[in-house]
Amino acid sequence: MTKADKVRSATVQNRIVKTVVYCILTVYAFILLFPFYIILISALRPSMESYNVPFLYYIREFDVTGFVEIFTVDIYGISFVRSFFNTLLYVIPPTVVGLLVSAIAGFAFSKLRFPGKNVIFYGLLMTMMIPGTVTMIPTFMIFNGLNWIDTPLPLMIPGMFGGAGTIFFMRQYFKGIPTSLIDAAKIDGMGYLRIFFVIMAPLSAPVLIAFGLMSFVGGFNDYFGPLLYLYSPEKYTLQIALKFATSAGGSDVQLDMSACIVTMLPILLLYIFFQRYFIRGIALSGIKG
Amino acid sequence: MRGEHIAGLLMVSPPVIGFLMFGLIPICISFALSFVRLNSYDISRSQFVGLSNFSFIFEDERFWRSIKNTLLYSLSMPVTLILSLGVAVLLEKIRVFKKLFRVIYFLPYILSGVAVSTMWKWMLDTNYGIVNDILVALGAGRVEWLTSEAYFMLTMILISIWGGMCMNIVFFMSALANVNDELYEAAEIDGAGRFTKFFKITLPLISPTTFYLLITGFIGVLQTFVNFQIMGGDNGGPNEAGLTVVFYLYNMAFRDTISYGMGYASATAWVLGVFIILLTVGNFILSKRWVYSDD
Repeated sequence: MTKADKVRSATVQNRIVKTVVYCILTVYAFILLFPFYIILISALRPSMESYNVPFLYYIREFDVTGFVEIFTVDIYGISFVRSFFNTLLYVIPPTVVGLLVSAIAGFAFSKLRFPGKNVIFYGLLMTMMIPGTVTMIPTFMIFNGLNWIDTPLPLMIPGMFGGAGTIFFMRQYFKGIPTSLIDAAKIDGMGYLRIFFVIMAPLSAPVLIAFGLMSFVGGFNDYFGPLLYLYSPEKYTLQIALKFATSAGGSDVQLDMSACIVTMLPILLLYIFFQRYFIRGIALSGIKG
Repeated sequence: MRGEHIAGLLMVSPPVIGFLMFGLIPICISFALSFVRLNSYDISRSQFVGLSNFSFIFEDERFWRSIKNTLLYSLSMPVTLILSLGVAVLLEKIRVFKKLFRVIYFLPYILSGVAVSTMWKWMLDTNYGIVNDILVALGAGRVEWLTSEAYFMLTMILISIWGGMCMNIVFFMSALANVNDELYEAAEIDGAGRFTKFFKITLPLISPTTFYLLITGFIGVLQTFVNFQIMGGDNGGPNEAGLTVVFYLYNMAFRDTISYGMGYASATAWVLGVFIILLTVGNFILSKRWVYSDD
């Protein structure tokens, strides 16, 4: 074999490898996406079509009564529209407040000197080790004692005190910002909170948005919290609305799948518009463990 | 200086208060509860019973079944880990459409678990679901994925693999990107092939990531409950085939409060909690021996 032959056979081999790689990745993408195609067609045709044997892979008669019903009728006393607004109402305040509280604490841990700093910091980090299973029952009892059951408060208040993972990451992040910036601001007479909002927050905006998005998505998709604490249908969030409106009947596939789509759509839209932040946020939330 | 001290303490006080209220105090109450009998949510009605909650659960056949189920479910983790490493390696090899693939692969992670479960319930329906339809078309019989005791756990494992790779892929991709290219070049000069390079260079170098994912994954699996409750109903699937440990203690605390109550449930939570903490600490120490690390 000449040198040219060797190079040629290497490129051919490379091309074969590339093709195989793309095939495998496409198959996996297909396996992930196919179920969403099935719910989409099941939502957009009458249930009878979905109960056809063998299964129909296309829509014979286009029909949106499932969506119409979800937006206009209460199903078992549950309104999806109200549940959607409930969810926003319960999730946005703790997301915003919790994010600010965590970032401010992370700023203090990284740039300020105060007594007990390290003890407090490592104490907070240890909270990440406490398994949620252990605190579940006493936390419920505490909220019960406060008469907070069947109110959204148990879902909202804890998050407002910030999260150890976010604090830990923000501390690392702020450490990378030169202290001279802060010293200059101090000479200008700025207080620490103002320094945070005027200098630190804008510099860390992309990370803060990523954390905020992940925390919003987590709250939006939370099922266990609302299941534990909310009993009145008019207080339901979207996730338990979906659970109780679908499992209650069970035989109306069109309605069930329409409800699935309505529940997933808000996050899906956010994901499409803020992909960049999501990818970053997913990597960051991994750090939280 | 004084001002800085006060400002610092004030700025970190909200999370500290939160930690006390939702971390330290609950964990102390939980510890105390595991030694009492309490069939309501009113702590003042507790009766001290010593270690009898623990001896009860250790003799309870359902407790051991829930442990068995949970461990069985944890088999999903190594499979997920290996497959996601594979996907990450392949994604690192391409440039065109890389972003598109990544966006698709992250979908199950950000979408509602309830919606995804509802979707699978429909697809796995014994008579009309698409999965059985495909099996029938291939000449196989219909499988009772969610209604037979024999298949329920396998179904849950498969669904978990389907939707559980996202985070692992992200971590493996960043670990792979951090492997020094010079090592590969040096190995190529020594005549190493693809597989030698992967097993002798890549795998050892990404071992801290693998290890981290293994531990956090296992801790997550040990506390699984919600997806089993959605897919299997309040009793944990056919013949309790999906009764996990947290499911077991959740039912004792919140559904069978009168016959079991907070004491048994807290004792179970502590058995699991101690196991999780030991696992975290123990594996952390062990990891220093077999995980490659730069420092």
